[in-house]
Amino acid sequence: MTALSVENLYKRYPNGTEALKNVSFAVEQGEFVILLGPNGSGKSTLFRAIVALETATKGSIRVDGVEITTAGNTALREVRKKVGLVFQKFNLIKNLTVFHNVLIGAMGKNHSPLSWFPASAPQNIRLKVLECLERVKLSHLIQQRVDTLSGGQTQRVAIARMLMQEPEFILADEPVASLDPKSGDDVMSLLAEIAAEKKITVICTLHQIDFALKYGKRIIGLRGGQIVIDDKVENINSQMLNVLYDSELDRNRVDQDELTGFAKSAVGA
Amino acid sequence: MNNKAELNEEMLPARYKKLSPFVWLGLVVFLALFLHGMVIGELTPERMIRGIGRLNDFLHQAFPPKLDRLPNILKATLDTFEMALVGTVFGAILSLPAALLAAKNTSPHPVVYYLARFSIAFLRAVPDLVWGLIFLVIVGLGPGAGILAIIVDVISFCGRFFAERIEEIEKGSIEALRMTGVSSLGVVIGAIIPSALPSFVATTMFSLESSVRSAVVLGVVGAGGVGVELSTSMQLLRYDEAFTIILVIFAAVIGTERISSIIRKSFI
Repeated sequence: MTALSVENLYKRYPNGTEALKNVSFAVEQGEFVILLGPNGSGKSTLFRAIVALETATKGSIRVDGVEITTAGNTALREVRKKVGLVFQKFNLIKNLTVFHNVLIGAMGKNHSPLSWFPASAPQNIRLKVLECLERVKLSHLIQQRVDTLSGGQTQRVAIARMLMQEPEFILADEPVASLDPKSGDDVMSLLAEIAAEKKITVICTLHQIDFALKYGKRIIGLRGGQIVIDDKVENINSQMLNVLYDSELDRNRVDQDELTGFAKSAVGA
Repeated sequence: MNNKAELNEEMLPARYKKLSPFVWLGLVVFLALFLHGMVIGELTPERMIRGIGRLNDFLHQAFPPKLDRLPNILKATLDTFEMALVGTVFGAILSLPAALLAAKNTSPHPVVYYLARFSIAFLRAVPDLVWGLIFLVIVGLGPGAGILAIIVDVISFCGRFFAERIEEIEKGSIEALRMTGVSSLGVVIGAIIPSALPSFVATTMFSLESSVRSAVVLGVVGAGGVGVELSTSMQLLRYDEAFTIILVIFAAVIGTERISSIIRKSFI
């Protein structure tokens, strides 16, 4: 079954920037797709378009068969309930406890306002919060305030909040970009495990090629708003990735990743 | 070193900047108003010196403070505090919807935003004592008028600061909740109120402190409480009794500030 299909998608911003040019791909239920591409390649625009935070200029996006580009508010809310998002900056409410933040994740699923407050939430929902936190191995921090946690812990709390939604589809936008390599690896392996055990479709953008090759089953590479790679991970070679990040093709831009690459080789030498 | 000879005085900045005619006009107006203010104040040195003698008389008559009516005074002070409390609670509750309409990121429409901002600014432009006089006409003498005036005063203060706090909330945490398919009401309850609550509480507590002072003054014009007691004692020249009232008001205001600061600290 097709979980997501994007067809001939164009996005042109009012300032004339063409963020996406004729992007087409389909993702099957249960696939784990990594989206790679330098800054400004259109990854974020594509992401925001999938949940209609951004309106496409032309083309079609279908999530679970529902056309997003023309969906009304009600239809859109139904789709959003099925899609769990993970953000680079976590987007939790820092002055609240871990428990409260995770509870909020179920607000879309539960219409009764009683279930929205820690004091009045039914016991089964409270227990579900505990389960979701146990899944990310943080149940012992349930009463802590989020602003006392480390970056890696905070991202795992955000994943627990997303699990409260019981998503069929996870979109993760650079989920490890703010984390150190060890915490980043923990978060990526957690996402991979969750995806495998619940057969959830995942699309994850990354800047770390090593994580992409380790956790991705399929790699899509964007460059200048176009798809330049779309293949199973075992068919990906370094030459293909060079196309993605080679600054010779784009002399006017200095790429952050390239700089990182230079820095690494400089340290090695 | 060798181009030192090329230096000349013309390269120095001017000692004074030339002022534009508007600035001159402004200075003249300011000076005129200031001098006229001094004249109508008539705070001449001899008058000040005579005043010191009268202050001595006042203090002489005020000491020792007369405690006969202390129970009545305490009761009236409690009334004043309760006026401030009720007014602040209703004011803070009503400030929340007003602030949601007056914050850029939650207002449903730019027109609504400007209307809400303008209304809150209008409430603030009219002093609380004037609101008190208006409500005295509408609902008659007594604490009711004072409470209504305080509600308006609190909305004018909290409405503005609540709105500013709402505008500071990280866009991401609001977006994250909206993207789980939650309604606008859900976003307000789940993300906006919890993120801003510490600041809302602090603003409300500041507002309570100022409301207690307002409530005393509103009493003087007839809105009940200890203000009425004070104005009566002063008019009947019972300065010893008035002094007791002033001490009690002092204690009530300081007490409110202490409690307010403790509550604010516990909500950070």
